Formats: sequence, C-alpha cells, structure tokens
Amino acid sequence: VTAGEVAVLDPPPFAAPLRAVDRVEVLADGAADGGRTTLRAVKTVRATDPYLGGHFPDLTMLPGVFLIEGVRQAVAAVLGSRNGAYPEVRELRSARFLLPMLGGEEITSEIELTGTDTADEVEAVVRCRRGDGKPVATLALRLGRGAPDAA
Amino acid sequence: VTAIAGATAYGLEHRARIVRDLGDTWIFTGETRVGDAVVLEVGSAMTALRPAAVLREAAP
Repeated sequence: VTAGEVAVLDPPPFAAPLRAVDRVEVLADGAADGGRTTLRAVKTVRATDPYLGGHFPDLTMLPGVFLIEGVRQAVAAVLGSRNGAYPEVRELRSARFLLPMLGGEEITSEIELTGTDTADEVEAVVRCRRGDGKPVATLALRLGRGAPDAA
Repeated sequence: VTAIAGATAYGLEHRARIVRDLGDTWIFTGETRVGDAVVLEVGSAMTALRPAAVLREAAP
C-alpha cells in the first residue's frame, strides 16, 4: 500500500454493475505503525445509479447498505485480490446513519484501517460526511478474504 | 456470512424479532437462514419511520 490515488474497480468483479465508490485515495500508509492505513473514498449520489431507481420514486436517497458496500469496494481497490478473493465484510460492528444522503450530494468517507500488515483480516472505522462537512454516518466493520467457513 | 459451496440459488429465510416497540421506532434482532444453516446474525438494529418531508428538510 502506498499513498496516493488508487484505481477503483470498475466494475467491481464481485458486485458488477453496482459501483459504490467513485474515487479512492490512500492518505496515510502506516505499514510500520501496526498496519494502520487511512483512506478517503468519495461517492456522488446519482439518481441514475442502477440501484437508486426505486429508492425512492420521488426522492433520491442513498441506502445505507451502499455506504457499507462503498467501504468494501474502497478496501478491495487498495488491498487487491489474493488467489482471486477480494476483502469482504465479515462483521458490521456498528452503523449509525445520522442524516439522509440525497441525490447530488458528494459523500466523503474517511476510512481508518488496522491490520493491513497481516494476511487475513482488517478492522475499519469510518466517518462519512457530506459536502458541507456535516457527519452523515459512522461505521465500524471487520473485513476478510473469502468466506471463513466455506466448505 | 457463510457461502455454501456449489450453490447457485439460495432460499433465504429471515427471522426478525422486535424486542422494543416505541411507536415510530423499533429495536429488533434476528438471523437469516438457508435451510438449517444460519448465514447472517443481527445482534441489534434500530429502525425509525420518518416522513419524506423531514428528509428533504435535512438537505444542505
């Protein structure tokens, strides 16, 4: 992991055609600091996104689950795949949605990752803000590669 | 979340239990099963009902 802009997965092979993040940047790669890495992921809420047609017919509002998916896609873009497996969400420890994320708004997620120096799992603490700086959500989740108990 | 090797279609059964009902806000718990296997557990979730006008007023 090195600091700077990262190419997003377009489309993400595990979620095509649902792209939940527009831009991803590595702000701080703290590989020497216990595997701490800080990312910034940006997503503009667009009524034309394939999952927003019915959410809602007269009010475009990003479903919170796509904010979570955006974190997953940002982490996948940064950490990449290993043996064909990208990081996926194993546990959503907490999610608080504070304000609606309406059509046209740009949502910026600051993602603090720990454990990026180890092979299996990372923890993510996420603060999401809209363009005027107001917090719209906070998330805490655990991501890992592949299903831990797949047969 | 558990993947089931070889499966291409899943029959999902959601079981939700409301543990608190506050009128326009609910706290619930539950799980999702495929057959006898629990594939998703929800410890605690809260959902609230708000009119669309309240959401529009929150716009910047």
